[in-house]
Amino acid sequence: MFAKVISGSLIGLDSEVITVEIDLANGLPSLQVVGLPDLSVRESKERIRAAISNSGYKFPAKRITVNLSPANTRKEGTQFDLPIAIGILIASGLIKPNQSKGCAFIGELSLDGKIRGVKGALPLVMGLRNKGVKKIILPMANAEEASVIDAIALYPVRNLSEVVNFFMHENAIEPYNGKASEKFVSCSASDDFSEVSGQETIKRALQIAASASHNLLMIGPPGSGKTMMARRITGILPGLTYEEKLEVTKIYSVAGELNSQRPVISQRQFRAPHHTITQSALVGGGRNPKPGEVSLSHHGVLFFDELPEFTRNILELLRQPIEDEKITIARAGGVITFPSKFMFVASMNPCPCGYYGDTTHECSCTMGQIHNYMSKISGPLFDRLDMHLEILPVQYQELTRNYQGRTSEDMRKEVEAARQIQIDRYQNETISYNSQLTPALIKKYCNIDRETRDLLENAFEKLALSARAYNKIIKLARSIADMEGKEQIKLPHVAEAIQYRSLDKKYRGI
Amino acid sequence: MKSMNDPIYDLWLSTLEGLGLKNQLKLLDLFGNSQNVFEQPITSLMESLQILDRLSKKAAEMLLRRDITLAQKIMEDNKRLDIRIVTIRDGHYPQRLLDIWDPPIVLYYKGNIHERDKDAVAIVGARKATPYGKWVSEGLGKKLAEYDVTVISGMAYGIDSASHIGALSGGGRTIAVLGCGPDICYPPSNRKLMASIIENGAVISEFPPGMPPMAGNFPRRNRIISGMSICLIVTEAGLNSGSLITADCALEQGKEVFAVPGNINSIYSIGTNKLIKDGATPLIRIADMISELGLQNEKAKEDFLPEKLGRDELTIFEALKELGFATTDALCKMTKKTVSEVHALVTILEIKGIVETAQGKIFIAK
Repeated sequence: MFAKVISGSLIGLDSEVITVEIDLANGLPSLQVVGLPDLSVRESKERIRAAISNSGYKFPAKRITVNLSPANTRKEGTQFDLPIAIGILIASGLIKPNQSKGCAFIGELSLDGKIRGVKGALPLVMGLRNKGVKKIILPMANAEEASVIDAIALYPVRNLSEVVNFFMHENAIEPYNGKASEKFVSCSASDDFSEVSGQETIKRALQIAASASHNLLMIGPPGSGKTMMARRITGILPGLTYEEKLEVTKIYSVAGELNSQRPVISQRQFRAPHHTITQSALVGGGRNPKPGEVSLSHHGVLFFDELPEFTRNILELLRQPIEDEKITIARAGGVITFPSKFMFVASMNPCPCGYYGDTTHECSCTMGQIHNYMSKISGPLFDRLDMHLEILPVQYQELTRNYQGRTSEDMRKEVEAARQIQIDRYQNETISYNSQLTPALIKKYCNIDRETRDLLENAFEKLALSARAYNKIIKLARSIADMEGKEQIKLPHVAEAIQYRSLDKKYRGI
Repeated sequence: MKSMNDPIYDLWLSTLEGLGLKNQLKLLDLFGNSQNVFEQPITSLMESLQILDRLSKKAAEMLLRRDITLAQKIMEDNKRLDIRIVTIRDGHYPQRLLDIWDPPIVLYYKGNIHERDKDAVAIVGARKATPYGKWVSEGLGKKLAEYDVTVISGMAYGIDSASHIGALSGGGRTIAVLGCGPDICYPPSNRKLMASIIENGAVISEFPPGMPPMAGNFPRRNRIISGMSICLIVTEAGLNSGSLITADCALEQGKEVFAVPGNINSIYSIGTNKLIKDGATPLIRIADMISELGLQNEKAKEDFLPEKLGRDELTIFEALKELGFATTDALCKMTKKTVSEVHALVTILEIKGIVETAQGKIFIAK
């Protein structure tokens, strides 16, 4: 009276194969789950009992022991409901063991026998496929999400009887033949840059930033369009590759952010957490860590509106993910790494009231307040911002004029071309974009001629630029040159780059 | 018997609580010097009380008690904090201050006061200033320094700091008049600036060491700023700026007041524009002030010639001249150039010192 069924369990973004063993023995009727189940797994026995009886089958009046092996890792999630239920039905003789051989199961049961979707279906299915499983029975709700993976047969089911009939009467369930792969290709347009009137300067700067994933800060009074433009950055980034989509979808799957409207993630994501965000919501956390905002914006844009309103703790936490492009979370349950390769975009007002420097509104802040406000972003985080852009509100005439700006698509094409140049150039290096250039690589790939060097020296002296600006300016100049398809960085490129470092200028302070 | 110039009596007189500067000066007038005041027999002091204005009972008692311990404590503090004092009777007391009706009896200072500080120019303005205002002040400070003119200001944020920085960058002398004790740096972020002012001039105050920067102190110190200088320049001031008080002091003291005109839609220039309406001399070019002061032009640096610019640079320059100040967007539209071209040209013009950029605006600096 023993049965064995295969399922899977999540570890971060990966999964491991779990063998669900069921033993029926004589004794007082009971159902015991061992193998380090957490609460959501232990509670499954009540659901299983009800689901089996309510589906019209007999729940064996035996002493039932369920073991989740390997027994030394913690198991979490509701996906074990279905495999345990099937295991019990096999052990009680309803289903023949050889019928279910080579088949893996995931799914949550409801009391009436329906099968519900689970979190992390995509990584679970991927992990099982990589371990040689060829057939998977999974909830209908997860079918579309999992169908992006090939070389595995997916059998979507709606309720427990469907599964039983499938094995007992060979009632065929069609392997899922969904359209997810089509969804994966399509790229519906989000907000478009052509809706932004004027601001050509900022659009150009954002294009440069997008072409090499430069982190940037926008400073401007309320109503100047900072958020509006930040939202549109994802639209000018190149489309995601298949691997990138898979990676992002996995993250969203584990975070439980996928649903029938959005079964897969095919576009770069724009995440704009509010400034009251907690530390674990930002970097990920929980006893069994779940990805946070830095990972949810993987391959996308992480936007901090009103940067100085974020607490210092939160801002400091950003340093590791920005630098390493991944975040490592250590908990009692284990050490887990989530990827976090995002473009960081921040915006802020020039002062607490917002109108310092505005020609038409009076600023009501004292100089001391403005000083404190600006100094919140000093230090290490400042070092990670490649560009600072000053934004002024557009004039009323600009807004009302029948204005047709450049579309996101036009801009994206140029960004794509510039990115291709960078990918080709760095194919033998560990980096792919200009923003990742290290000082050693700058020496190798960013030669500047004598004339340009003189200009840069002059600029440092005359404009009182700070020393840390040097490498940033070179990197930006590299991106500007790539944008124009030039291999050699020339004087105009460096000269333009200097304009994108406004906070280094002296008249900001005093 | 103590020497005639022992400053302890001046200190005693100047720190008498509740007496007021006006009464202190009256007593000095009556008895010649502060030691005489101190050593007057009690009856004659009692008599002198009649001529003093609005004297409280407490202040009168303080005067009659003739307690010198506070003065001694200040002397010790000064020694410890490296603060020097100059009294109204000293030879190196700022000469122009003697011409105003309420000169402080004692000035505390750090650094040194020089003979040529006599012909100083004061530059003041609002704490909250535009980049333009800061640039003008810094430019003025630097130019004056090139002519060996000492620049006097108040070391506040904004215009004041920019003026000091300009003078220092021109290698000149500069004096900061504080509204707190000379041992206190206010605003605290100006610590570095304060150190270099002390090295290349002085920080001066009529307040004893330890006096916090109380709001009431600042209008008083303004009269010293204008009093020590031959003329006053207000570069940028809003409607309620404290620098307008300084301008009032300067007019009362019969000093020439210059005001830098600003756009009439700029809230940061309402004060200065109003000064011009009320009769202040508008400062149109930095060179004007130099000739107004009667300074020799021989040291003047070669003026900027637009002919030296390249064709594209000139296009930008001309466009800026027309617009006053502009955003990059506006320049692109006007010159029919791309953003990248305009940015590159602006940087080059910036390095040449012809334009400045700040807070998203570009403006002409020459």
